[in-house]
Amino acid sequence: MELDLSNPQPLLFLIFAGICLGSSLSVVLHKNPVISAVSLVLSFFALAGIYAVMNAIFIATMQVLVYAGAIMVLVIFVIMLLSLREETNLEIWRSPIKQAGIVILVFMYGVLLVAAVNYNPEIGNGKPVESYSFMIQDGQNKGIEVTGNTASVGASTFLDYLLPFELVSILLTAAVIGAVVIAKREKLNNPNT
Amino acid sequence: MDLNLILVWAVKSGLLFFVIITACAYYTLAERVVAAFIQDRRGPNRAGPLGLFQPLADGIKFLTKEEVFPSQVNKITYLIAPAISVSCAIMAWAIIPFGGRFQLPEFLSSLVGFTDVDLQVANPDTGILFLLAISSLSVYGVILAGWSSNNKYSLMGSIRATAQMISYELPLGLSLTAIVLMAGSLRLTDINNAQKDLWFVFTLPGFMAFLIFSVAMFAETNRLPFDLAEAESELVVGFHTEYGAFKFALFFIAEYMNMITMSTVVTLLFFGGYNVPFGLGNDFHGLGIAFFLLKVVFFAFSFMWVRWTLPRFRYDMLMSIGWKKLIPWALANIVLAATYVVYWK
Repeated sequence: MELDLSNPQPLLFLIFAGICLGSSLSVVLHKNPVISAVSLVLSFFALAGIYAVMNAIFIATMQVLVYAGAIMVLVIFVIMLLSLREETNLEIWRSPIKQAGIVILVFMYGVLLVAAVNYNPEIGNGKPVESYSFMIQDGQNKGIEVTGNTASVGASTFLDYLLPFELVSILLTAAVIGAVVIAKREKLNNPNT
Repeated sequence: MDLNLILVWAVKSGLLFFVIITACAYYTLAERVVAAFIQDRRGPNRAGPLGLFQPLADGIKFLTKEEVFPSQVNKITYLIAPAISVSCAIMAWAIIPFGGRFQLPEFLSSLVGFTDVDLQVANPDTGILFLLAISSLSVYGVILAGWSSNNKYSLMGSIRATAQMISYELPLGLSLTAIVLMAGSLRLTDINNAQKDLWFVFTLPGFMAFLIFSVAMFAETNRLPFDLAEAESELVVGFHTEYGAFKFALFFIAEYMNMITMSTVVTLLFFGGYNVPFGLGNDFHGLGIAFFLLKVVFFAFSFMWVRWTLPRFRYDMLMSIGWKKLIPWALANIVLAATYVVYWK
């Protein structure tokens, strides 16, 4: 495995992947639910780092903004308000055979990861998506050309994937309306609350 | 990857860190002097000439105080909470541009191999979104501080602060959307360059966005009139009640740093950034940086001005302003901005 400064991507990938794996293990194994949730935030952050290493800067920012910044805040909020005690029945993980099993699994996964980085040449030299042009099906250029990573993602979403995008929007709108209706029905049933 | 490039980044980050820490220190002094002026009394004037060494004295005091750990705190989260707050505040500075491209002197450019550098640590494609992402992360410092302190005032304060920051992130982001529509780019340098002829605050959607943003910005930094999180009469000081010594100082630094960040963002998005008015300077211009700093200082001053002038809102009023007034207006403003871009521009 070659790690030189002229191409720091594999090194950065390994660092972020290590953080991601470590914090994900901490999510599952830590006794305190709040620490688990914070580890999940760290894991999302490391995942955003991996996206950034692959030059997908827009996706990386969105990962931090939506998952680490919005969704996990609500999760931690709920965990805090429930005031959960530390988990005590984690006895199964205390047996040395199972601990050894976990260590071996992690080690094997690490070996796989290094092998994958070595095998897949794409990770080492991913080029940033800096421009996008919309082609209709017979290969004719429609004349829409944008530069920049964000603009490329946006143009691709609204041209290539317009129908899935709109379907997702309808789904989200339905979910929001559903949440409002359920909340209001509770209030109608118990006007005193 | 060029080693010189990494060196330049490191030097820029180091310089920026030094500058903003100093700015924060003197912002605290300025706050006390302005408060004294507004309340018609003398501010700090003992340490050094005109009290100018006061921040230094405060810093030494914070560093030499005893590190107290209240009983039953969750030590890990208790310690990382102030660190999260202050590192998010510092990270936001990575994308703030202070000027155009700076021509390196002859001896330096021959040394490092390129002739000019951006006066900005990083210029990612997502610009303003990065800023929003970082500011949404700074909520964790508040949540964890309140939760780990094992104190009811801290917990109440952090719940209030978190609800407030989550609520006001929406109008903040929505008002920025109008500006992004008009500039056609998320990059802060592009938004700055789009205001060469006309500052966005002088257009109708830009002005609306500025009004919404300026309300949301006070709430987002937890300052009066929206400092419900640390209402002394109800909650002692809210989420950092149990913090002392330098751990408290970190929260303090983070708060002042966030205010300076918000001042620079207002300047960049609405008030022409580092452009010289009337098109006198085109690319890098010392005058432009001077104008930029002047505008930033004005908005930093307005934070203090508002704090010592207005009373505190009630909590239900805060939520009703955020959700029932600012968000609908911000949404309407996006439509207005889109219409403006299509028909008037």
